[in-house]
Amino acid sequence: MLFDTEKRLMEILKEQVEDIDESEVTMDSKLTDIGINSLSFIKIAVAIEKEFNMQFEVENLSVENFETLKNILEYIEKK
Amino acid sequence: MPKGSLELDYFFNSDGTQNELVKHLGNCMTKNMYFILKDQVDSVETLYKIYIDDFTFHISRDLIGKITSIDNNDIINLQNYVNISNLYSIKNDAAKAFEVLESLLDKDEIVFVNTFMRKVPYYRTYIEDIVEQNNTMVDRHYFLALWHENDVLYYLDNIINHNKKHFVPYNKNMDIGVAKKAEFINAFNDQFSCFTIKPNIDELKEINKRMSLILKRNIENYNKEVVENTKGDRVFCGRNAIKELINICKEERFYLNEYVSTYVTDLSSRISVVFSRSCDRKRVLIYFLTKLSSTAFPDILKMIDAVKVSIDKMENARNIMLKGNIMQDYLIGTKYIEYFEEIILAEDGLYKLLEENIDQITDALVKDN
Repeated sequence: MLFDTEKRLMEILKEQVEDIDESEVTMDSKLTDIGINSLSFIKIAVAIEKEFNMQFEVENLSVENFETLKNILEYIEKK
Repeated sequence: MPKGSLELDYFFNSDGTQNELVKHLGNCMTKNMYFILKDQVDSVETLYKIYIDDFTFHISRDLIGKITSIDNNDIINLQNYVNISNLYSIKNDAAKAFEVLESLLDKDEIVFVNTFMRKVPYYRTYIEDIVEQNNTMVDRHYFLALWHENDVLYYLDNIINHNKKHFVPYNKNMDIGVAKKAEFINAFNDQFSCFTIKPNIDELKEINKRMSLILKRNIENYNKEVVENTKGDRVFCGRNAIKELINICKEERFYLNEYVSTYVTDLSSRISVVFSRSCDRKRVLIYFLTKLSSTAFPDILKMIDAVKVSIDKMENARNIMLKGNIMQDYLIGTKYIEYFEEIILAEDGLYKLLEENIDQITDALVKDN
């Protein structure tokens, strides 16, 4: 289940983040290190909402609330 | 032998961590100003204070209600703190542009450069084989040229602007990019402008004295009445500007992807920029407040909390509108009202505390050198 979520999250990243190098990205990667800024984070959040049929609370639309991809993964799992 | 500017810290500290405050020092122009001034002034801490300006913004609407302007209120233009020289603007002549740029770099100047960024490979908007011509001052972006040797140019730009396919970091300082000069020829052949700056010491000496003025003007602008400008537009400032955003939501006649005639961006981006700048200025204030002792003045903890809440509320509104734009749900309608109402509540709390503690906050800012 977790593996499936991880895979789907990675697919979203590939679609939403320009020039992302999949081989260099792990769940421990910091969002800022892989080029995610406040705007691209909202794009990712919108794609996650669609993919996982969930809603981000407005307070969680900020990239600063998620240091790593793992943090996003955990957030999705909790929903 | 590399030039000194290649050994300085910019977006990152020498230990590899990001300089958290630099992120909040405004746009490319004002961040680059900081990078140059920080090594030429007596106190970097004092320099940070020039970035605390007005937290308020204004909205102007014409007689038929069209939005003519949404912008931050600036009390002191940051360019007052520098003297600009070596200003050049060169069209369609990369050879001449390089001649000017290299002669300035050879004189140990760090140079602000503006060019057609879509033709610059390291930049995020780079388009290979672009055919557009005569695009002057594209997005008004400035990067810093730091040094050159042989066929290579060393430059500085924000990491968020790097095009990962083409950006090559300098091996001794990951902040800095290295590129063959040839990579800039196409862009410089369209247009090139540059300038250098030196600190305006007399103006910088005034910073501490100005903290009181800046905080007082902030309060005045927050409470300012609606006025009519020379064009006959009604200008809503501070609290009234936020209230006017609520009215705009109620009117349900504007769209996030609609352009305001005076800007090159749509309403979503415009509001986002204005809110982000306001939050950045508040973050610089927090930087100073959190350095003080928790007993510096009785309301200090309340004050820090009020600034943080006001940032959160403004960012919530910004993010929900950006989300609406991304989802192509463009109407600026009543669903946004609650977010602006929360901003008003937070700002009311912040300005009440600011007014009650203005002397203590000013003293604290001035003493901190």
